[in-house]
Amino acid sequence: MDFDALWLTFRLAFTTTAILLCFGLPLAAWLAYGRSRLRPLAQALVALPLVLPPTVLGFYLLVLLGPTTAVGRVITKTLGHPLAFSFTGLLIGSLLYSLPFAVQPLVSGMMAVGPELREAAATLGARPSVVFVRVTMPLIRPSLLTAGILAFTHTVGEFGVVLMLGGNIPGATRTLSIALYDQVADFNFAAANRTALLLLAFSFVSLLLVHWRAGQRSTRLV
Amino acid sequence: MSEPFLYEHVTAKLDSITIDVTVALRSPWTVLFGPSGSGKSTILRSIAGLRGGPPAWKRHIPLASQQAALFPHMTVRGNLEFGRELPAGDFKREQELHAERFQDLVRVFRIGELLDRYPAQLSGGQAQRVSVARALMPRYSRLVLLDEPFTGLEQALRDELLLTLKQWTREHRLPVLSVTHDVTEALLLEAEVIKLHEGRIVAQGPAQEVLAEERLQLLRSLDGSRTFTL
Repeated sequence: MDFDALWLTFRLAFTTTAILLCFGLPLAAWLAYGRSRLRPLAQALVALPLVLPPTVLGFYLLVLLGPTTAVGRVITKTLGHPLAFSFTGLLIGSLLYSLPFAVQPLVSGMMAVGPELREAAATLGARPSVVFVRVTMPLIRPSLLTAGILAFTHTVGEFGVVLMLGGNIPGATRTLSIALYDQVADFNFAAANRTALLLLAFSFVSLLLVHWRAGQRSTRLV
Repeated sequence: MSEPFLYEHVTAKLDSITIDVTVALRSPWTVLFGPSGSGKSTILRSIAGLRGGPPAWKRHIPLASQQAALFPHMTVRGNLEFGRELPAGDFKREQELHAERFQDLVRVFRIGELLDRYPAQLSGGQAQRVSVARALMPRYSRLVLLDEPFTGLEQALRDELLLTLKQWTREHRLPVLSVTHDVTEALLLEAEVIKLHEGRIVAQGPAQEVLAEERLQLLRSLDGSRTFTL
């Protein structure tokens, strides 16, 4: 078992999930309750990673963060190294790639909270932030759990973005799914089997948890 | 007649009617009276700040809507406490006044037994009582809006609640604007009545005058063997 890859994968998934939940909440609130005309555009952009080949996303990020663009040059100059082929670069890729898996459950959860509840709270003198914390948040707890689990498992399972953007650097960018690919390429099927089985079991148990909770609370998955 | 303490100009387009009215409130209890679809609820929502203008949370005008919108994740006690404000100043005195008001409303609406229940465990009538009590909890409200507050409640209980509520709001100097299409309710409250028809105000004044015609109709339709004083 490649423990470096295991540790890196979970570190990446954990950081991605934590950041996505923080930024996903206000974004989801805007998508669910906002009245801006730009909403359909934002919705399409958020959902794009669902249908886009991960390699496409990885390719554009590689170009954007590389030395050929102004953005890439500024980043390289500021940090002293390019973001591509580093953990931070991988993190940016994961954030974009797993964005819809965190945001969509939150949007559905928020839309299921009746407007009459938020209105009642407002007429009782609660400012929007108070309404969000005391009414909306407690009512979307199952959606928060779903969003967290989906973002985490999806990040654990990503391959295309990681390969394009991170390459295969042990300890820095080699995640479990890349390690599995390597093991198969080396004909080390016993190790590949252990890695694959771990990923399979982890994904299955996570989804089981989501559905078990969803069944108990009769809420939708996404 | 005293000077109005609240003006609200309301314009809206509903399915078949255009509402364009200026509501002027000058009595402790005002009733918006009119048939279904005459724009009563829209006017209430406008005054509450749910249809634009200054935001609702800054207006201090609680609204108890027709369908009790209780917070499902809070007990009845939690729902009543939601509107609690903690202004600066004499904190202890504020706490006492708050507790007093809480006990008072629990008694008026007879919801003492329900305090630890969740909304899902209440009947429709109980939920409505809690919803109205919750709207009356904030101590610094300028006005309270009640949208058909006791529809579906047994007549005797409804009448009793209305009369107790009328007295309670008067004692606490809390103006009320309620909506009804029930003539007896408006007459019982001896309120000032704003009569609406298809989005326009057709009359405003004491219930006995504005609803004189409806009152006669009602009396005629009642059984002649019993005496009613309406």
